[in-house]
Amino acid sequence: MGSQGFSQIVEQHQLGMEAAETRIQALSEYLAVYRASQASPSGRRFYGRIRELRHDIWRLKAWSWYLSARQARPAWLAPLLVLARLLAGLVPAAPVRQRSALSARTALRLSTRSLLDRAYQALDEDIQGRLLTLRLAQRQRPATSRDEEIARLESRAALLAEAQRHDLRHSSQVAVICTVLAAVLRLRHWFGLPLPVIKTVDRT
Amino acid sequence: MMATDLFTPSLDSLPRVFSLADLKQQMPARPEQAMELVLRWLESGVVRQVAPPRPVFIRTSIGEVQDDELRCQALLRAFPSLVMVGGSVLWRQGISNQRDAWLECCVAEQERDCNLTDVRLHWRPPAWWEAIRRAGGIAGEHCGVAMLSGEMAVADATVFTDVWMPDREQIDWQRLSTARLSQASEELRKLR
Repeated sequence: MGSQGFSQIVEQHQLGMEAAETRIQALSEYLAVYRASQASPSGRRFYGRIRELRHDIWRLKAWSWYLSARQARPAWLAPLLVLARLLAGLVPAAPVRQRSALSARTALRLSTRSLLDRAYQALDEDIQGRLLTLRLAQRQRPATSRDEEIARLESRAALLAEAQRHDLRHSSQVAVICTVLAAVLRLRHWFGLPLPVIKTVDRT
Repeated sequence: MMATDLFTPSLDSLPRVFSLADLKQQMPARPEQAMELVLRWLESGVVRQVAPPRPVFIRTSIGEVQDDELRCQALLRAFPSLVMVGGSVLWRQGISNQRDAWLECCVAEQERDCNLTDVRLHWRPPAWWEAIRRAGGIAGEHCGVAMLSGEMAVADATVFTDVWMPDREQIDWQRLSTARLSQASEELRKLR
């Protein structure tokens, strides 16, 4: 694989992190509004929904951490990948909506595949929206060239689609990685240990 | 230039508020042409982008006045964190007789350009929603948009001073609880 291929993979990881972080922010905002909008929060449904949203946020944080680790290459990465390959066979590849025993009558749990798919789609929508705005401006005021910016966004959209396809192809391994790392993150959170610093995404 | 055919969805087949993803779903065989189609609609003025760069659109027609329901629906698609605040809340809850000229809402999103008429969006930090929850500051909804309680709307306007409020004598103070107003102000003051 040439240097261009490597830089593309790095960029795909960056886009994956951006997708996860954007979705984490959106879910956190939704969680805050959802909690605030319940005048008298009670009932299994309300708490079930809160629990599922938090679970989704932890899994997305785990995915972002993993993608960040792909660049930093810490010592635990190789054993984690081996574990993911070994356990992948136990995870169904097709998007299955799981019901945990606790949430059987409350909220549906999204599979990791669906969760990441939505994160990628949300970022794709954002890129498409920006492209649309630029193209419209380009048509209305052709004197000002926006070709460079349009090309950059088109390239991002193509890389994002490739990253999404890649993760979907390995969705079982992705599910294992997210489950393991989310459990680690939660444990660190409960024990008051600092959470790993995830290399922030450059959104410029 | 894109050619129209029997498989190109007509604008009438779409809801009044729709997103690029909705349009792509109607064109499963050629989703890549959805953007070209929307661009054409935008250029001809039959649709408007609700809040660029978000790919959410509203169908427009000449002389049509956007009612509250349509504006709220469009805003909610573009800004999921939307909460109605200020004088807009007081008038809709019957606490004030003075009607708002602008629909005043708060959002968590930093980019908040909006092409809808008579709408003003204000930014609030994420901690604001937490403070609202702690103080029990949401009182129902209007066309799907969560509304602050009267007390919280007054406290928010006092603390942030960026939203329109009716004249003092136009507010029915009897309907506002002093204790809740004080609690709401206390919660929000921590954010300044």
